[in-house]
Amino acid sequence: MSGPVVETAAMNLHLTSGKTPLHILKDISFHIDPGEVVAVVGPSGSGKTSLLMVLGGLERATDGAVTVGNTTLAGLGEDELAIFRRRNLGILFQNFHLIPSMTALENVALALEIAEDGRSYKAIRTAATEALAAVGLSDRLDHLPSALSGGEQQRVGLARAIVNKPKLLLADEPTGNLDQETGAMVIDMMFALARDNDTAVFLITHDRSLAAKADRILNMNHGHLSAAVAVPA
Amino acid sequence: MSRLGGWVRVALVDLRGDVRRFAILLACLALGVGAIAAVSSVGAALQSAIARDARVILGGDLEVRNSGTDIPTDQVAYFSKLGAVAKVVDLNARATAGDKSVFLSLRAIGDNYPLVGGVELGADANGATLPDLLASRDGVAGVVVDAKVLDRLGLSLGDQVSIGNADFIIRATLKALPDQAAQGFQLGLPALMSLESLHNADLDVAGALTRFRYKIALATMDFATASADLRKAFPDAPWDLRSPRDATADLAKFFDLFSRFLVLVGLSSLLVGGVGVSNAVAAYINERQSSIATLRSLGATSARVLVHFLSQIMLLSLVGIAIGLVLGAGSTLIALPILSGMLAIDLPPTLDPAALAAAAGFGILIAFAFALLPLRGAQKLQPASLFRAAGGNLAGGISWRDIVRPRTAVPLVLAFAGIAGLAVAVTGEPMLVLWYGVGALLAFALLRAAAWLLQFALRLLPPLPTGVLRQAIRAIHRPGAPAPVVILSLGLGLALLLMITLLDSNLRAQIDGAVADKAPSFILIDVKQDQLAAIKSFADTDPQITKFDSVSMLRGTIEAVKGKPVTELGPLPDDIADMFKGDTALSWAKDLPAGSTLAEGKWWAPDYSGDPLISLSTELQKPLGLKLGDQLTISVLGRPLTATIASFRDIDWRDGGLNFRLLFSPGLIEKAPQNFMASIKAADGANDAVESRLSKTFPALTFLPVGDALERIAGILASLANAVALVGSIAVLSGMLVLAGAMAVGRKQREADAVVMKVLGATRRDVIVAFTVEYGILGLLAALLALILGTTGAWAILTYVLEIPFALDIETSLTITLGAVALTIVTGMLTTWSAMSIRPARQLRAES
Repeated sequence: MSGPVVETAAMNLHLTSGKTPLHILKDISFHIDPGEVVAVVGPSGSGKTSLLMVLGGLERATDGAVTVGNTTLAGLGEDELAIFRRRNLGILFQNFHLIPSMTALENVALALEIAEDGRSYKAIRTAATEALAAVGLSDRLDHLPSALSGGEQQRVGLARAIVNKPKLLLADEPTGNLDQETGAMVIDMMFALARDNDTAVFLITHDRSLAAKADRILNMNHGHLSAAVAVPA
Repeated sequence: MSRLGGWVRVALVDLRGDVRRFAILLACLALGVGAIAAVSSVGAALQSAIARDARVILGGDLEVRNSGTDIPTDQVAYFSKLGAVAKVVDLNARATAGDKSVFLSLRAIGDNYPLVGGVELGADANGATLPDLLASRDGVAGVVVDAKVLDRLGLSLGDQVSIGNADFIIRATLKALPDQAAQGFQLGLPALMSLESLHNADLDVAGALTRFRYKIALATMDFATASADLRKAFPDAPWDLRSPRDATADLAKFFDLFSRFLVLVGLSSLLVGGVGVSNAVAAYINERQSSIATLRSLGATSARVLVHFLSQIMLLSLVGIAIGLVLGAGSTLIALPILSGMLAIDLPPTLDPAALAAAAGFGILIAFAFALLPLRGAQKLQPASLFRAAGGNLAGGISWRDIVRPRTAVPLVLAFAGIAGLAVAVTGEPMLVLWYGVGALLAFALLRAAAWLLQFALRLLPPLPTGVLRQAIRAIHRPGAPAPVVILSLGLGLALLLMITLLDSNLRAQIDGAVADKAPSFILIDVKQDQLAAIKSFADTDPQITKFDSVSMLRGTIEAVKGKPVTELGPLPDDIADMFKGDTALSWAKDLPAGSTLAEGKWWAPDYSGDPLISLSTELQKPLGLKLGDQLTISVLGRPLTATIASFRDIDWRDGGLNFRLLFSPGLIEKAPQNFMASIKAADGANDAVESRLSKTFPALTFLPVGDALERIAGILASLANAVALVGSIAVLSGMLVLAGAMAVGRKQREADAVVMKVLGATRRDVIVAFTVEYGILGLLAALLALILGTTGAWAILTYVLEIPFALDIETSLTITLGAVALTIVTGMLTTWSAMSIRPARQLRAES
């Protein structure tokens, strides 16, 4: 694919809280290249998650341009955005958000079922099994989320996020609910899988040491995305 | 299709887990569907039994019937050419043994009776045939009687009894006649004797109350051909011809009306159950918000979300419906043999596939219609909520704008149109369904509007003096508050409870009315002027007679209606046809008689003496197309009197009093020689003794034991009330399930609120007072609205469907209403108490 995976130009996001207007994202212009890992750091309430949501088509930018994977998000309807997500994105949440009634395998297969890319059910199960193997959970295929540890749940979430080989992986504080050691393992795994699949990563984290593993770190402060900070070699 | 299959497959996988949360949904559907399945199956079984047994119920393919006099032998000979003929004579007579007597509904039969079906005799017949039992042995003929005759007369089988001018041996007990159901209501206990015995007892004389019937099993012709042939052969004959269909028309109409009514009660329980379905689906969707948002973030379209949850709910609904069908089928198979015995109709325990299919159809449509709105709420959920704090009550997130959008409004309208269409197909009464639908819609609208108004008004309320009260009021009107759901569910559940209770109490009042204290025990007819004083003196001196009344009674022949001879009137309904054949009883009155209410026109002045006026029963008005000012010509003692209709009266025959369909104004008619009709009321339990003394003292007197008859009517009404109570209890159970579900709706929020209040330093007392006030207000409003809705519903059903006068049982209504308020508060307090016992730390940690 030629050109950046993510490109925004002079993008703003205004929301209202009750009757109070809020300017959440201010004049954001940046890009992410294919396979590039970008970490965003910044204080709580600075607009990191809002930016992630705009990139994921979960929130609509008030103005400016947002293009993800060659798709211009402005003007797309809810269902068009859903189809955009299934074709381009993987999302990893802080709280995992696995479906509690589904096994690990079914949770991962769900992303492929929703993708509707013409695969047979057998092929879906095979791909989901491989994705879980890639995160070291071959022996947990038939476990329900309630029977998995936090680290295991997040690895299921990771397998679900990358099983479609997305162009962009959005990760919102994926280690926020994990201990440092488990968090580091999940992040390493995420970066490795992203590189294997040439998937770009947009990672939100408070943990500077995790951010340091990214190709690039961006600072978010009061809705402004500041100039890139050089990553030490 | 494979795509949809994939969607459904994932949905079913996702259904795994605790199904107890669907208990209310399953129970609501199972109860409603079960009630409709059972009621319509039993109704269908009754209708098909009547259609199937119509020939047995008539006792042949054609019946020639004449009242008063027998049919000439040349005509009977002609009947024989059409097929086998069985002659039957029905009359009332008195059986006496010693000083006891009993009033009989006597039937005299020929050897070949019955042509179709069989007479059911007691085991004491020992396999003997009917002709054998009735035959004369050693100069004494036999009779077969209802077992109660033996009880009343203190006799045993083989004992002798006098009927008319002959003695008989009671040879067996009678259980049922094949054509009993077509005979209609009978005064007296059933008894059978032979035609020869009837003659020997001098009972085969002409009499107004004697009916001569010739039942014909047609050899080759059908009813239409045979009846045309008979009419052609005997154009002037006064007799009636009845087909098997005519014989069963009244019976079919009655069962039809009653089963329709019960279907409506069943449908009500399903509609209220629908609210339970809606609450359960809303709670489920609320619980699954995170999963829905996850599906959306993975790229699921809103259509997929709908299919996902709709297929889950419909699958569960099908389980509920299947349970309902099993319940309905089971109760049908149990009810039919019981009803068979009660109604003297053969009702084999079979199921009606159409009735079961209709019940299932109602269940599916109700489940879909009531699940749709919460499911649309699921579709509206934004995946962004995964990154933010969970939203409020998701189901409450549906706005009117969402509802009127075609994608919601069209399937909703189609579903309710389907329910209405199915209801029309089942009841065959489009107007009834229309009014029912309007009523149900108004009930929903009223409850929703009331909840909105309450919230609106509370928002405008100035701040209350204490924090606890302010908290309680805010809990009702804050965004996402469960108040509208609680008011709707509580209101509908209670309205149904009240409606069923009022229907039941009114039906039972009807029964009590039938055997009311004022209803007489005996009616004495054709009392001669010279007998009257003696009877009055007998009544006054007999300590067991509590009341005696008498009125003038004349006999007259209606000759013309609106100038048209009665012979040209065409076919008339069975219940009034006899008035136009020969003599009919009539009277005159100065004042409006008790038991009559004026429906139209004016009552004449007590001293009226002008041209003859007449007041008619409303029963005559419609069939004859009469209006005020029309004229009737009635021949009284050979003198034709033309009277103008001055009024129409509704007569309450349950009163059992002395009333006449034809009443003349005073004046001219007073001068005619007249007999009297009298009524006697015996003290409680003294009917038999008074009957014996009366027949002994006045052997020539004709008197009808109406007390017995009224008791039998009461028995029938009691069966109806029991059926209503049974189906009603299912509806009430649905209502209570919905109430329980409604109380559960707010529970999670109450627990969360209680924890926060406790952490902030509120005492248990503060929290409980706040919730008591909140639920007290909601319960009171719901109960008041339910009082209006339930009462209106009961009034409409009684007045327009069952045609029974409505009376408001204020005591019961208020007890239920206040009880409901108390129950709501207590339930609210109990759930609050459990919330208060949760340790805040645990709850807060669970939420983090």
